[in-house]
Amino acid sequence: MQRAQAGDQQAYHDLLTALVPVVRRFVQHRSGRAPWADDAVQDVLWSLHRARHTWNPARPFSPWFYAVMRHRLIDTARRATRVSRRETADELVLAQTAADLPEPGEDADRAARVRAAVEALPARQRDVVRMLKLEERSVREVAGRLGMSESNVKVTAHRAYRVLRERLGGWWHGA
Amino acid sequence: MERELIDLLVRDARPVRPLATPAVRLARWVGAAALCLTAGVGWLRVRHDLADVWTTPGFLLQAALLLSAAVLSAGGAFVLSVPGAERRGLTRGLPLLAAAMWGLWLAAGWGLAPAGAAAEWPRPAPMCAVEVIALGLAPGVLLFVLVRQAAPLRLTWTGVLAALATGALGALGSQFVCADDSPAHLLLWHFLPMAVLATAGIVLGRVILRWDAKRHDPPEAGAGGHGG
Repeated sequence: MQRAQAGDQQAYHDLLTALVPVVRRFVQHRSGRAPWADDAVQDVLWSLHRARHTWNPARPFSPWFYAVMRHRLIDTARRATRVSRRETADELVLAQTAADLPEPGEDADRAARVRAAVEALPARQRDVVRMLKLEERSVREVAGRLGMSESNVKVTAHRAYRVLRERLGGWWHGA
Repeated sequence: MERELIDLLVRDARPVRPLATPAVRLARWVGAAALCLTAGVGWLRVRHDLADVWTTPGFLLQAALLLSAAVLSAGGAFVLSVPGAERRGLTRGLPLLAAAMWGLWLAAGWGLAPAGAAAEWPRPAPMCAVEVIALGLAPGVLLFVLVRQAAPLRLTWTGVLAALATGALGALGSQFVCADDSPAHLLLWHFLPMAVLATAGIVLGRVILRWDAKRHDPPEAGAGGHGG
């Protein structure tokens, strides 16, 4: 870590690589096999990176490392809970919206706006939304077809819903 | 997935200079705070009777409690800003104790005042509250900046301690400015603003001290780049 602070990139790479299994074991031990475990590992690595200047070489590394890891895991778990609640709300809105979509012959412009907004999403988000909502596949199926983890599918879907919410604006909420 | 992230972090890594220890950072802040406070008190004008009161036990006791609260709070904030540095809960408890002792001392003084005086509410003096906040503002802002340069993990507690240090320092300075030493006045127009400021630290900590708010979203698996 001391060499990493001094700018030794190889030492930093070796350090982070060695820490990943430790972080993963810690996360899995405390979170079970929560779907956000992958996110938590990445969050911890990011936090270690941003806080690396706060480690004092005169003090042991472990207390510093475990403090960052413990608190970042708590933050990630809380965020995952909030996201999960929002995703549920988003899915309800989407389901409602799908139910409210005009029948053929009614306001086709609204349907076209939804389709256009989905098509305008980045490729990965578009694929996830299309497979989840239009093809009504499960998260596991989508993950398998796209070569993603299930947690990544959920994170990608959440980002897509956020973009759609912004683009479709008041209409999205039934205004 | 982690391999990509590690490569990104290594590419992003620049040499960093480790932060000085909390004790060193505290000493630097105390020096700067003393200068700010001196300038502020001088600008607001020292009370006319300072030469008569500054050696009295009551004045000295209050000054000691406020100085303790300010230094212990700031020190606690610096300790909490370094992951893993806090060893004991006393780091958080002692500053609050010092501040509370001042409040209790004032409340006891008000309660023990002569019968007629105790029943009277202190005259309105909002300018004293303004002075407490104003005198603590510059060192308080500096403290928040210095703490945020580290990596506080307990944002609420760190914010409370930093805000308490701000308020205690302001109250200490106002002792040299405000000539009204009645416990009731001090409790309402000096202690209370300090307590309100400390409570505001709960929100200030969560808003100002978040040091990792701008982290990039992790790349989506297989996408090779940022999502959204």
